[in-house]
Amino acid sequence: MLELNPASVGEKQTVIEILEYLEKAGVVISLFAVALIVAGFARAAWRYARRFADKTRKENFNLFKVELGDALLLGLEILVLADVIGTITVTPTFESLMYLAAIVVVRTAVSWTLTLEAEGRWPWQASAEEQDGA
Amino acid sequence: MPEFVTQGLELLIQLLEICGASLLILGFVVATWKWVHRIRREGHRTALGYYRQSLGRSVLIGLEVLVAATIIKTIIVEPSFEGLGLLAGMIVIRTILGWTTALEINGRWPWQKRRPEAAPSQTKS
Repeated sequence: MLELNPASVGEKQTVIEILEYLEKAGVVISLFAVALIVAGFARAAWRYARRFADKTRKENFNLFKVELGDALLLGLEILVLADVIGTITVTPTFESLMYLAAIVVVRTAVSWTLTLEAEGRWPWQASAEEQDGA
Repeated sequence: MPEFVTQGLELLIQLLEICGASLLILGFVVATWKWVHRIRREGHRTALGYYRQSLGRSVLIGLEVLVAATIIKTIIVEPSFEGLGLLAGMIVIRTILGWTTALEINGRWPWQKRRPEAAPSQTKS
């Protein structure tokens, strides 16, 4: 990423090594996020099946959607955290930068629309709870 | 600029980057740990709310440190429009990510005043 001066290559090497370990931790975190999304999906589906008898179909389906949205949002948030770590070690080129920008835009859009669907408001609008003073 | 200054600044930048990444990872681990404990004590929904908030806070802190590193990098970057453009792009992305994260955990943009009616729910956390 930066030009190395032979005199300080030794300590540079350790610093770069630490950064590489941290990047690996970032990858582990993204895997964890994927696992959470899958687990959240399984949980939502399981609860959907269990509720099938007691609720009307529409009510049940809406609950299912909200629970799926929760799992996705949580996963996305963790993936963004992992991506931020990934941005440190990436060699800055315009291509990688555009890629990163696109990921951020897509995740933000998904997160906002999921909030809109689950809570019926945009993230910058006050929630009903807050307006009630709860 | 003398060589040793550039070298020192490079090292400083990398230390800041390590700091930022460690903060992110540490914040993630602590938040997850607390989440797992909260699920049993306080139920799924409350735990989820707290978890998302603390994750957002770690992202914010990490980003702020990383933006600091990027700003220092502008001093020693090889003065070309390409290098400058890349740094500017990185700063813009990190700043916007910081704003949207703040929006998600606070329910308002950073430049908006705190809503008076939102105050009671703020004191909960």
